[in-house]
Amino acid sequence: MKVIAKPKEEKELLIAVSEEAKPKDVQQGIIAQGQCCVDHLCGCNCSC
Amino acid sequence: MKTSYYNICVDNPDTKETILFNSLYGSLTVCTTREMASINKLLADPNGEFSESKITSIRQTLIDQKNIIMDDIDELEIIRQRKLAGIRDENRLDLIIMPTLDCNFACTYCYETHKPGKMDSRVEDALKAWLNDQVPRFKFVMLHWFGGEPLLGFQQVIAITRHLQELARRSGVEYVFHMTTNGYLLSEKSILALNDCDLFDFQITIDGTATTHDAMRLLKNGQGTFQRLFTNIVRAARIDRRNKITLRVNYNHQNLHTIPQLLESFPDDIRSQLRVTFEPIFGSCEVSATGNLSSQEISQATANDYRIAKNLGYDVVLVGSGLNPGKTVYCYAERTNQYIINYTGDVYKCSVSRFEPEKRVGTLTSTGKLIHEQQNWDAWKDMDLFETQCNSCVFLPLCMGGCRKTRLEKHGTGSFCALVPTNTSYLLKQVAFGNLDQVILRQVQSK
Repeated sequence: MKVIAKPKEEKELLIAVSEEAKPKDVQQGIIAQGQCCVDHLCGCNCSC
Repeated sequence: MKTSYYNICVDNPDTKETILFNSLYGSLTVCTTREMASINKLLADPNGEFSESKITSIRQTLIDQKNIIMDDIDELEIIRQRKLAGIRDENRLDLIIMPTLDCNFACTYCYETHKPGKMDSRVEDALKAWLNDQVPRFKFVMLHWFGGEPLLGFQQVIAITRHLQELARRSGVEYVFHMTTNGYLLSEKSILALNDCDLFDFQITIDGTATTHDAMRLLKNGQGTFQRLFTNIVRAARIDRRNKITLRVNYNHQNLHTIPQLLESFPDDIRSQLRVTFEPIFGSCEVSATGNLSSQEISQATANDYRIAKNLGYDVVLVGSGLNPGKTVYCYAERTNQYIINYTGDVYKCSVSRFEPEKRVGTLTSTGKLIHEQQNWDAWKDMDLFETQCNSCVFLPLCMGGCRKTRLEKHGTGSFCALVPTNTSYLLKQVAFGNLDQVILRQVQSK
C-alpha cells in the first residue's frame, strides 16, 4: 500500500475557525481552501 | 473497530490499482489488486480474524489512514460540528459589496437584472459607519467587489476600499480585497488606483476563444469584447506582478472544447499570475452545461484542460481543492458573518439573486446600523444543517450539504450533486496517478 496523503487531525482542519486562531491563521486557512469563487453561477464545489 | 462510512474506492484499470480515499479525513492510499482483496475483507469485517500473513500490516495501515476507526466515533457528528463551526465563525467578516447592479455587458446566460443606478453618498456613508463598528471585532476581513459591473461605480469602489484598508490597518485586522469584474474598464489608471488600495486579486471571465467569447459576452450594443479584455488582462498582470487574475471560463456545449486554444493564447510571462477555473453554465436548457453535456464529458474535458493549463504554466490551485478535507460550509453565504451589501443599502446573503427588496435579509440605516428583516433572516439561518439524503452521502464532507438557496426555495440539494462524485473520481486519479490520459474509464464506488 502506498500512502499518498495521511489523514488530517480535526484541530488542524479547523484552525482557521478556532478561537485561538491568529489573523494569519485565518488568512492561511482561506488560501489553503482556495476560497475565491464569488459568483456561484455554477453551484460549484470550490470550497468557499 | 468499525469501517469509516466515508471510504471511497476508485479503480484504475490501466494500472490495476485502486485509490482508497477517505472524504472525511482526507487520507489517500494507492493499493494493488492483491492488497484490495485483503482490504475488502477487512473493510467488510474490521474485527475479523484472517489467516493471510500480510493482513496485520494492512489492517494497521487502514487504521492509521482512518479507513477503519474506533466504534465510538460518530462521523456524522464530526461533519455537523464542522459545519456549525463554519457557520458561526467569528474570526472573519465576509463582505460582498455591489456599487451598482448595472452592467455594460449583455451576456447571453446572465441571470442578473441590470438596473440603472449606483451607490449614493448616503449609502456610502452608512456603510463606512457600519464598517467602523464591525471591522475591529474580527481577525480577518474579506472584501469582494461584485455587481453588476463594479467598475461602473469606480469612485465608490476606491473610497470604500481605502476606508476599509485604513480601518483594518489601524485595528490590526488582516484583509484580502478582491474584485469580480468583466475587465472591460480595467484601464491602466484604474488598475493603479486599485493596487494602491491593496486590491491585487481579480476575477475576469473569458469564455473561450474570440469567436465563442464574443458570441456569449458582448456589450449592450452587441459588440464583442474579447480583444479588449485580453489586452487589459495582459496589461494588468504586467503593471504589477502582485496582481493575480482568476481567469474564469464559464462553459457549455458551445465553448467547452475551445478552452485549450484560449490557454495557448496568453503570453508566457503572465501565466503564473493567471489562476484558471472552469465552471459550468447553469440556467435554461438552451445554455445550461449540464443540460447539454454529460457529467462524464464535462469531467473529462475540464480535467484535461486543467492538465493543459498546468503544463503551460498557469496557476491551477483549484484542481485539488475539491479534495480538501475540512470544508466547513457549502459556500460563503452559509456563514453568519457574511453579508452582501447592495448599492441601495439592502443586505442579502446569496449573490445569485435578482436582489428584490422583498428578498433582503436586512438594511443599513443612515447611522450605520444593520436592521434585520427578521422573517427572511431567520428563514436563512434556521435551516437544518443538511437535507435527509445528505446524511447517507459518502461525499458529504467534500460538499457540506449543497446550495442553501436551492434548499430553501426548492427543498432539495440541487442538480449539481452528480458533479461532486464525478469530479472527485477524476481528481483522485490525477493526484494518485498523475496522468489522466491513461485513465479512460471511471468508476466511483460509493455506498
